[in-house]
Amino acid sequence: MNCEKALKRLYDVVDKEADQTDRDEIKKHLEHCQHCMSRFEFEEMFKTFISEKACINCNSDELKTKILEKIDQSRDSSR
Amino acid sequence: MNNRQSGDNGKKQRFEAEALVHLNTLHRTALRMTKNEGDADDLVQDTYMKAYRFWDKFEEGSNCRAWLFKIMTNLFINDYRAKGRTPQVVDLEDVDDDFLFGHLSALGPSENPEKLFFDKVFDDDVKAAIDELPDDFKMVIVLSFLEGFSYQEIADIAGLQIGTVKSRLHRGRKLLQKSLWKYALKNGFIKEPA
Repeated sequence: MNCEKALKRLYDVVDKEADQTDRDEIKKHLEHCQHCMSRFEFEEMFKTFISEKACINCNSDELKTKILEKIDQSRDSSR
Repeated sequence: MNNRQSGDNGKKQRFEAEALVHLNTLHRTALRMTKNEGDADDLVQDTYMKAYRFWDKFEEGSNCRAWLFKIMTNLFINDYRAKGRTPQVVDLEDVDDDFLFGHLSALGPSENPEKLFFDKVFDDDVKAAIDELPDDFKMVIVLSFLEGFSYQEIADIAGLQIGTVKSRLHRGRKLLQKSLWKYALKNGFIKEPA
């Protein structure tokens, strides 16, 4: 495994799509390649960063009530 | 209570327990996709009404969350996306794969620019950067980054080939990095080297 091959699988690893064999080979490469290691770590941090910052906890209680009401209405009208 | 009614109640109870428990994650994705609360509310309600109508088509034991996202994604593409929109042109010619990493590394190791970047970028800037993405890219980014779906699940949900999912994710990442770099410069906590 060289840098080019490792970087080709970068996003597969970050997105947890790479299989065990690939992960093992890449891990071996990263152990002695600081540059690739930094890049892999960075892209992993980037993904976590985006998901944490963009994850809004929206209050869906009101929406739930509306949906349940609509379901009841649809049942009444189909009767 | 007649048989019909008790059957209806059973259906509603099952629907509540298996489908409505995913309301929060659908709501949050709807907000990112439509960019406004009114449309997001409507999209989620339409999704659930359609899911309820087709509840007998849902295979018990299969992934209900993915099934709901598929319904919502279809509704969004067909009914909610700006009608008559022209295909969005995306210029990524000047954006390398390691755009953000490369730019931050170039600032020099002493300041630990990656940490500086991740510590300082505002939540609102991240949301704005996602909102600015063209719909096709935004959809795969949201499904992967925020909702944690696999490539195969995203392909099923959005009706795409896996190769298309991967290439849109790749380009979506680059677009996000490019626009977050722009925000970082604008807010002044990172200065472009002279």
